[in-house]
Amino acid sequence: MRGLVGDLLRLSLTLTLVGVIGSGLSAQDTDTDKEIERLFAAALNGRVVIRPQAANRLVALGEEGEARILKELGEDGLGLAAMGPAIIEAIGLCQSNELRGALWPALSNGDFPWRPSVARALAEQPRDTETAAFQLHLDDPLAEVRAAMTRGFGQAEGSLDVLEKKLLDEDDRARQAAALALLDRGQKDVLWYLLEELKREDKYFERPTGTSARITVSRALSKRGLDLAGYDGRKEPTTPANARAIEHLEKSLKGDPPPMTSWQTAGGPISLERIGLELRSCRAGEFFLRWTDDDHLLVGQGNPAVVVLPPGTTRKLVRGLAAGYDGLEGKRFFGAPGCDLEQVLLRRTPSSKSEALVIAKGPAFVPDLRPTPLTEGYAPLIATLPDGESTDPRLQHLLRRVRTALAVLGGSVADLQR
Amino acid sequence: MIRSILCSVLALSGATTELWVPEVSTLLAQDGDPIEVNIDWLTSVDYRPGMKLPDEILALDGKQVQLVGYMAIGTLEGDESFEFVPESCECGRSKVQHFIDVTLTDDVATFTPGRITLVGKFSVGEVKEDGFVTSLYRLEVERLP
Repeated sequence: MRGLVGDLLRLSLTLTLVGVIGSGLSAQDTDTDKEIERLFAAALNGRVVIRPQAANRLVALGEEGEARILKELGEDGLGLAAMGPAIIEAIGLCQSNELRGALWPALSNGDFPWRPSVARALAEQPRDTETAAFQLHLDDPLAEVRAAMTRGFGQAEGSLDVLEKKLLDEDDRARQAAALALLDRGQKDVLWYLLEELKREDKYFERPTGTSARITVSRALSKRGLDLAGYDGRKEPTTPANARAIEHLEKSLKGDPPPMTSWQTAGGPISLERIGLELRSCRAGEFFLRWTDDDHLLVGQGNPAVVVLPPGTTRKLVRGLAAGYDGLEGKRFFGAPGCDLEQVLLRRTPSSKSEALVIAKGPAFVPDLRPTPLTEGYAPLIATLPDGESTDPRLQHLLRRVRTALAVLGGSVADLQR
Repeated sequence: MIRSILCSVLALSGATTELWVPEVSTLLAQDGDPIEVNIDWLTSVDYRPGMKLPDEILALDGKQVQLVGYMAIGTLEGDESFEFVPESCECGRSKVQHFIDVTLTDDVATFTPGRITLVGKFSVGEVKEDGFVTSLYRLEVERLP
């Protein structure tokens, strides 16, 4: 009997201890689970500004945080798009091969809505085994993807010859990425290309695109420990201090500057812009088109490609587009925030300030988003675009590429007889 | 004189070349004149929550500044605040250092596409909600131009 009582007491004590320990662990697990769910929800649906912070904290939890993302990803990987750009970019910091493995197919899918985020995630911590995969996307239609792939390719010890070819990219972000990747690999002569960025003074209407490039590049060079001899990216390159700094940097390089294409150089002043059409599509790429008062079509930012138009073309286009603006009863914004943007700038007279009009949307197609008066105003604009073969990548089949972008942004634009 | 004092202060604070020791005209305006601050420079700073910002940015706290940029697309009509950004597109820039949180003291927001100039009292530093940094730069402006 004493034995039975003793056994029961021991069993009771053991069960109590198991219960205590078990309930303690459960409470801890529950707290962790709650925190994971809180961070996941904030990264998914929180205020836009907190999403990247929440996503980074989630992956910083390690395997448990990564497991939550994996759960959402699903076995077929179809959950990736729904998780949005903040979580996608945080995946770039994860150790999980499964998560990283889901990024490459998304990048290869031209319809995936967050391809620049996927590319940035992949370039965050490139793996040596991925050199070929990075190279495959170096000619992507999206400049942000090309820039990220160039960074990743450079860090994954990709070929120097291939990186040198990327110095010819039509977009300044991709060219800068190539030059910095080469610099990181000890190719000091690429500073000639980066010095051209430090000399930029260009604007896109009122927007100081040259200043942005100078700040970006000077910051990147300072970060790499390069002494810029007092150069300040915020100031024009012609100020005495900046001119001296540029001269000093040029003297520090051996030999003469390499031959460069027009778009690799800083370029000079441009004529007065009267119409601007900026298209940024998360699927079809970006276009920066301007029509000047002296009948030139400018294509691209920085030092743009120039197409000479018949005399009187721009003034006629201005009248047509102004009529389109007037048909909108003062409304200057259409759609909702998202990765697709169409921005029109119109200077009605040579001395007037530009009037902006914006159409924006998310990745989903929105039928008839662009108002009809504007679509009608576009037709004569795009009829001035060249469509042939060109040695200048910015002009290569320009019309058809712009048509595609317009169609996915706000709807197709009718073809006018050219 | 002022510039040499400023340079000494920055040197003592351990400032590096990345801080761009400024010409006096860019940091210290005449009495009453706002300080012109480049929004690209401000919003492209390397930052992670908890990190100390460069002294040159911290020195702008409490000052009257002038910034030129764009209202973020998505600004709600009738709100008393909006985000002010260097480009009209979001362009993959959605982190807390990428915008200035503008508060209108005597007006409400009406979305204006295109570049605008704002002048107001600037403040710098992390503002947190639920443990997340929700703003780094703030500008108090009376009304929209």
